[in-house]
Amino acid sequence: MLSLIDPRFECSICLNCLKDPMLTRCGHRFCSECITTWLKRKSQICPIDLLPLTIEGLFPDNYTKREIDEQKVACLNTGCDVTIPLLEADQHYASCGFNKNQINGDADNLCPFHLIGCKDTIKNKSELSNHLVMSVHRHITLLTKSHIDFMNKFQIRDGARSKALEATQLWDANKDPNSEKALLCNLYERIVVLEQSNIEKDKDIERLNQKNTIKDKDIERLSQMVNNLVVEFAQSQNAISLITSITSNGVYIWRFENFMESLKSMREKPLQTRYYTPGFYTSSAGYKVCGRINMSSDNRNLSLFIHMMRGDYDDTLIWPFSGHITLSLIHPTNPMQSICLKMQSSAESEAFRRCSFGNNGNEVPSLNPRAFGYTEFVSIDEVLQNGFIKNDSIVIKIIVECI
Amino acid sequence: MNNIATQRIKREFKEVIKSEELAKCSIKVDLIGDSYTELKGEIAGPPDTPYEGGTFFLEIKVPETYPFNPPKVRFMTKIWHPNISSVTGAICLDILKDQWAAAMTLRTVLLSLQALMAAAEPDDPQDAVVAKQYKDYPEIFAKTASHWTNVYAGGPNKNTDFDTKIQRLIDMGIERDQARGALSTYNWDLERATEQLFS
Repeated sequence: MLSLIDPRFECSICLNCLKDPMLTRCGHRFCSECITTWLKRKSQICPIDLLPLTIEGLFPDNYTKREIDEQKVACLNTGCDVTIPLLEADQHYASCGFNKNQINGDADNLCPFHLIGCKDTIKNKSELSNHLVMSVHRHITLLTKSHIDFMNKFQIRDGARSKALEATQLWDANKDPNSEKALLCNLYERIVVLEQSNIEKDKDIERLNQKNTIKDKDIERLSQMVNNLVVEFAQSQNAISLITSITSNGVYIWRFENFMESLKSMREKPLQTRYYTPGFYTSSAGYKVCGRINMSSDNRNLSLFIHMMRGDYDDTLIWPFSGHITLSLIHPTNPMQSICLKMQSSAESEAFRRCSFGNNGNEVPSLNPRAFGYTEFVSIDEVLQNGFIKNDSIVIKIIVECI
Repeated sequence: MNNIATQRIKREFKEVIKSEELAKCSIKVDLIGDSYTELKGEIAGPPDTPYEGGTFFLEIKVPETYPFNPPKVRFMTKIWHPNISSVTGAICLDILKDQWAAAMTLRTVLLSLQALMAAAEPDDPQDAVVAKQYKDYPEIFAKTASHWTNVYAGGPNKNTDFDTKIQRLIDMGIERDQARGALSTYNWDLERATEQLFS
């Protein structure tokens, strides 16, 4: 887009606005540079009327110069409402951001910072806001640059400004890659890039934190589930041991673990220290019994007994209990060495009566306090010396049969 | 190209386009490519001349020293005119040579050429053969120029007599443009043209 110039102010050689106008003796005006170039090159004539003319025939036309300096023109581009000095019109049109609209009739809008050199075009509102956010740096740089250009133009300078000027000059496109400025510029660009990536990283972290919170909740829920499962498992185990006690058919294998430590406790406190098996039934809907080990009173033998217990089916059974009881200490490697003692129940013994006693000072309330068995079942020396202990455990087998 | 030449051509372009000659389709300038160094001009044959109704294309080369030196202009459309070479299209016009002035523009050049077409200057010829015919046989010149306009510039006046003579030479194995050139040169005397072609 070229400005329309009043013919009075147009140089016929460059067709531009007169710059340092010169008046010829034949009454024509040209730019000083244009007419001197012409007269140097060609025959000494006026380019318009071809009358003889020499450099001596030229005079500076300061009247016209002043007149031109006072001329202001409005930019003809639609959308641009800038008024510019006539002499600078071409410069303005060269950089006017509204040129594009004029030429293409393009629907694209310009960045609001186009006046200071941002060339981006924006299609819609969201793109505009995006552009404004993303290009803050560039816009600030452009603003600073145009501000300093402006200040510079009016010759206002001081130390700080020249520094700022220097800083903005780093942004000029034509830069020597080897110069310090270029290096600084590169560093600055690098900083901008890094800041950008920093922002992105922050966003990533925020996202990860959110994810973590979700994960934490998941974990909490899972641990809750695990707890529930543990409780359920314990209940199931109880149920299983109950079932086992019912389905044992009067046979109980007692794996007595941590034997040496238990032995030590028994020796130290022979009266207080007694070990019991869980209760088990002689058959389903049978008698409930349990086994017991403790130190004999001479402190040299293990005692092994059977206690009748209060069972769920006591009402339906015949009392006193009648049957065989077999107690065995199993040798882990040699069956021949196992100790096996078999007894017949006795109708007279208190021990086979129905367990209807209260808890009169017994450790296990639902248990007949009278036991039946051997106070000297096996000597401790024999247990220790004949290899009954394996993995710090002894195995006792109790069989209770009804007759 | 230096800045002033480009700047000026850009401005002139606007001048040519806005000028009223365009409305009459009499002169026109087009860009060739993106540079302003080569342009294509277009002139309508002036009315009441043998060139009327024809469209003549010009090759315009803008030197770097423009406007201090004239543009180099040549007819791309073949034309029969005393001041224009019938072979190369070179133009003999003072303003394109020593009478150039920096205030002149492409528009004034094209208008000058249009004027030249309307008023030839046989005393300062580019093509001596044409100039001689122009002076000695103005009627034949007018017919020949009109015929060339018809053939090369899309003019309206068909000359069946000339076409027949050209066809005769073509039948003898002569190329069409060469045949037309020879016949034009010898004032459409078939015998002399043949003689010249086969000598």
